[in-house]
Amino acid sequence: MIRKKNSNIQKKNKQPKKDINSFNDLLPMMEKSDDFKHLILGSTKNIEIFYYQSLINMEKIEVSLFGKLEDAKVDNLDVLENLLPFSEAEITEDIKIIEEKLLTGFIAVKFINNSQNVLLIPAKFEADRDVSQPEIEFSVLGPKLAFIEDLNTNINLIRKRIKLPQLHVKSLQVGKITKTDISIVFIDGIANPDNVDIIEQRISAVEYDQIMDSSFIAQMISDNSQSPFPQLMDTERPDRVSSALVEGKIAIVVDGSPHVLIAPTTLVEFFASYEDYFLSWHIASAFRIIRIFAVIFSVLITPMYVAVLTYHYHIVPGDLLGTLISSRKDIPFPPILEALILELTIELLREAGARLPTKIGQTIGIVGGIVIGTAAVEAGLTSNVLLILIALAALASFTTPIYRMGNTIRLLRFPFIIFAQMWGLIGIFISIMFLITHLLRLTSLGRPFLEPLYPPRWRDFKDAVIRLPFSVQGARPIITTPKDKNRINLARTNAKRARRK
Amino acid sequence: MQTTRMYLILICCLLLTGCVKTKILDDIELIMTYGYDWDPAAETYKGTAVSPLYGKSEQMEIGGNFRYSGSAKTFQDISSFIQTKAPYQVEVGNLIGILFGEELAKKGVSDIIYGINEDPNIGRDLNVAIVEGEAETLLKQDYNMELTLSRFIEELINNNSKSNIPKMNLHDLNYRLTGEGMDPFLPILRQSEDSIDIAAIGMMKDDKLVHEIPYEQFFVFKLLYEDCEDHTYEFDWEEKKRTVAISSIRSTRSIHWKSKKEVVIKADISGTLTESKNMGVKNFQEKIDIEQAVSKKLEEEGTKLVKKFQELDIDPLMIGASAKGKFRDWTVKEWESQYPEIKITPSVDFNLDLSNIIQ
Amino acid sequence: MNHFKPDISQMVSPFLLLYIIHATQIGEGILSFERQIASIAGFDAWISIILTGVLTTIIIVVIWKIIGDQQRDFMDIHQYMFGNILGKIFTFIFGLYLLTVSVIVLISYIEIIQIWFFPDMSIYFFLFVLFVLIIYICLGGFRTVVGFAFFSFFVTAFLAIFKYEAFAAGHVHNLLPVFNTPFKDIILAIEPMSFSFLGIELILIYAPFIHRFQSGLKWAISSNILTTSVYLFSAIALFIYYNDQQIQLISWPTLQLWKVINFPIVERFEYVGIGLHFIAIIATSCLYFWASIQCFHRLTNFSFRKMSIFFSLIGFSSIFFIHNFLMIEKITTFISRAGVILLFAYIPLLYLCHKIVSGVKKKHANN
Repeated sequence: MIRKKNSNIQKKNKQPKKDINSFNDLLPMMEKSDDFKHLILGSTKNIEIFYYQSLINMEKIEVSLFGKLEDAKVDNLDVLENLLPFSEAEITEDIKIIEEKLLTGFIAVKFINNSQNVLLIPAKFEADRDVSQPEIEFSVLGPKLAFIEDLNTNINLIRKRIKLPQLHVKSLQVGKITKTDISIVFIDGIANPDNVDIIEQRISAVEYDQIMDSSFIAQMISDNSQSPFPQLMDTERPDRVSSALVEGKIAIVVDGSPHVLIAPTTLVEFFASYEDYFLSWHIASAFRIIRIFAVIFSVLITPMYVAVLTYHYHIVPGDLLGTLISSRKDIPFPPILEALILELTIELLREAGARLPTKIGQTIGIVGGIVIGTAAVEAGLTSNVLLILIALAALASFTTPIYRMGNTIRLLRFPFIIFAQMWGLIGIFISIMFLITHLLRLTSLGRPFLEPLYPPRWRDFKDAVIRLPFSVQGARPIITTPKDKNRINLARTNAKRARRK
Repeated sequence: MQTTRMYLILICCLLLTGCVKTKILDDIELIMTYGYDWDPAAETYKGTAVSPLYGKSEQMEIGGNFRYSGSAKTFQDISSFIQTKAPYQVEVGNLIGILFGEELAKKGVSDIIYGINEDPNIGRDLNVAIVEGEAETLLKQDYNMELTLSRFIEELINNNSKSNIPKMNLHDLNYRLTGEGMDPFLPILRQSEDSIDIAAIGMMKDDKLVHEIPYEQFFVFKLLYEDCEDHTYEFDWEEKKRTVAISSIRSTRSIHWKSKKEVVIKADISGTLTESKNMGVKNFQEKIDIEQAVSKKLEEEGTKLVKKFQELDIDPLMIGASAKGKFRDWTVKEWESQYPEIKITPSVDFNLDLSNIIQ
Repeated sequence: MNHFKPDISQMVSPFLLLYIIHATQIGEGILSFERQIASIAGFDAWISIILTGVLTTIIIVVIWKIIGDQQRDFMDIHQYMFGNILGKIFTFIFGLYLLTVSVIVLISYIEIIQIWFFPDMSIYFFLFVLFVLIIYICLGGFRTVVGFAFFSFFVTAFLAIFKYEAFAAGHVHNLLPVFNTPFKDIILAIEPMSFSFLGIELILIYAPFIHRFQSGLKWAISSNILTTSVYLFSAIALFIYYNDQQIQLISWPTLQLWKVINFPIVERFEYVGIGLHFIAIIATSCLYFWASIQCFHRLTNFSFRKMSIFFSLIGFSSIFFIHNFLMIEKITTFISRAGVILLFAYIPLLYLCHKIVSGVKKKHANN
């Protein structure tokens, strides 16, 4: 948990550069870098230009700046500013601003005289990829847009969906060295200001030298950072983020990250795919139930196998007994080893598949799944019953829409297996109790993580384990404690609907 | 650092003591059927245990069985004795059948039953039966069957419990052994050429076999004992010298007490007429005729059966238990002295509800 | 007077009383109470269950009256009535009682696990893990404890469904004729029955943790009615399933009933049932443990965390003294009797004293 005292913020503002007072002091340090350019232009060679070649858009500059300055006869920055067709140009002598802007793709223009004033011209080189399809949270139906690494594009994608002046963006900068831009996006009047304050306070209290991705922030500001469960939802779908904002949640957009964080969130939301809203409610509900069943199955099936085969032969029905015994007849290992070996194999395959390019990854999947699996059974190293169960469990764990949660689910079963080996079914129930307690103790922005299951809020069940039709989704979820509680005036819309009939 | 190491050592110690004995499914000897006989010479029980043998795939070695036998004075001892012959650890948790030899059944089975009841590993939904002759010979015979021997006996009794004989698992047997105003009964298995079949129902007085009723009386007994569904009854119509079969019989049974000394067991049955070649039911009169004939026949058979029970002073129909629920001043002693003299009238009401598909 | 007020983030809504009380009441008792009451009142003992339900409902109302509008807990009331030192002694005894209950509930269930699952299991490590679990739950605060009880409620409800087997295979005439046992026996069976209703005394401890406590009375009463009906249902199911001689021979009739239930994937339900019921046991034990720590915490003002670790060590070491089933039974009987006295004698007495004392004090104030 990162909740540092306010004094940290003040400490951070003290820059450790005491001897740099003017632009001229800054120059020697910057010139050590080979991509830092220093040109002198103008008819009287009185204009100095400084920039980082790697940060600016050369084409733009060559045409509109160098061409004009080549023979310019000016000796005043204000005149020059008016002469040049750049909108965001500014004149300053603040050394901190100059340093920062130079490093974010501005060009510094200065006259060779003793004036400390510097004209800063924007010429940022945009090297971001195009907006493309979501890859992790792919959906068959609905919009196919995903966030990219650029902060402004991402906020643009959200604003496109919520055309509202009340959509506020609060900008912060975090990271001692990386100085990463972070924006907190929320709808004023819907989102609870307390939540906004908590997030703002926690983010500004973050003290770390680098913030490379939103997941850094997620791990640092979540309520219990020791938990394997993600307590902030991360998504790459702009539609999901926009919908969360309208529900009164708060989004955290981090520059350089294609994943946007949503808070507060609950456990059940991690098992809801945004595609659920594109399907009719019966089908969506069925899918959600299947997903939750898959999670339970995925966590429990291998431990159950270990427990039953190691201790509880009593509960195996007569019809199944023959199948189980004959499949295990020639296996030299006890069930626990057998299960661990197979589980590790599956994890290896997944890890190898994830690290390799897509095409090779697929091949690895086929080789691993079919060749190794069959060979292991033929060689008498694993039983084919367990092979089926573990393959199903792995498959089931991939149905979780949020990848991060899927990882947690997959690793969760290992402690279960160990407890199952120790005390059989009782061991499994003990680990279930530990899990429930852990989930009960978790919070997301101080809101209970298990809501609406516990504390029981029947009204929030409308969009939890099942998704009810839009006509009953009249109120925003209680979990966000929104200022404006209702989406629509249900009484009015219902009256209207009645009239239509 | 020092304390962390201390904790680690402590946890390791605890982990080591935390281990419990494993019973890995393929490394145990699963006893699925137990047969018991009485050895009068040595005055001991003789136990025969059957455990299934599964091949590499279930289809390969069908119906393989291992048999072990041993003699001892108690149930637990027999298990321990069998352990000396089995390569794996003997486990009785999957027991699905208990068979008693005829001689043991006549001597009384309660010692063995109480021994079984005390083992928490053993279930209650297992079949108990008596074997004509010795249980050991029945279990040691090689049969040519699709299932393993234990499963065969289980399926045999289970399926017959649906149609021919009333259901009687270990719990029901316990219920009748301990309860007042009731006596248990068990199916009797007989070894035929290369198979096993149900030969009779053995009526018991307390825990001793005293009487057997043959297949012909199964239906009447079941009719008087409980509600039944989907039965078939072959009816010899002596007056018209014809045999008809009545199938899909459903019946409901109820006990009506006229007074403390007089009771009517009422069975309302309905069924379909099949195998009625040269005897179609054409009009109401014929329908009533056949209904009455069947009812009369069943009532006669029922009366005969009940008379026999009263003669032997056994109460498998649980009439005593019913009386206990009916009369406030019911006592066991009074009941037992009165039982043989009570007037028990079976009353059967047969209703033909469908005719055949062939006219 | 300055009353104890817990942190708002630990308080729960009054509606959850339904689950808390139900979870504290249903423990190991539901597996064996039928035998105990039937041994006194025969198969008319189900009437005793209803009578006990009525009596406990009255006690609940009395507890509500004692606590009053100011939402005081047991500590405040004791000090208000008996002064500082005597009040503290009483609270201390009460805390010890709660701690003993929480440990004995665990240990007696471990006995079942040993019989059914692992006769050779080392109880030390097992109990150690359980205490880690209990501390983990209790340190989450009252909200977590209640959350656990909330989930355990569904477990017991789910398990109650499985008594259906008894109705399918039972004999209804076992229950007839009604009122055949002397009325005196039915009254006598109230005592063993009320062991299974223990748990409402905890209200005195967690009362300040309930929002709008006074409005919770209806939930508390419905919880008690729910418990009564669960017990009634359970007892009738088992009375139909067993006859009155047979039930006396069986230590845990419910577990024997589960032996008969089977599904296509689970042959013997009792193994799953014992495991599931374990969740309910942990919930009961946890609530008691939390309440006892709360008692001691209020008495001494040491940190809750340290206290719970200290008392769990005491609970854990108790296993070195309680090592056979006779001892467990003896302590269980003793502690249940203490609970019944507490419930039906001490609490009404406390109410009367409270009335008198507050009347006197009011008079003094007026003068």
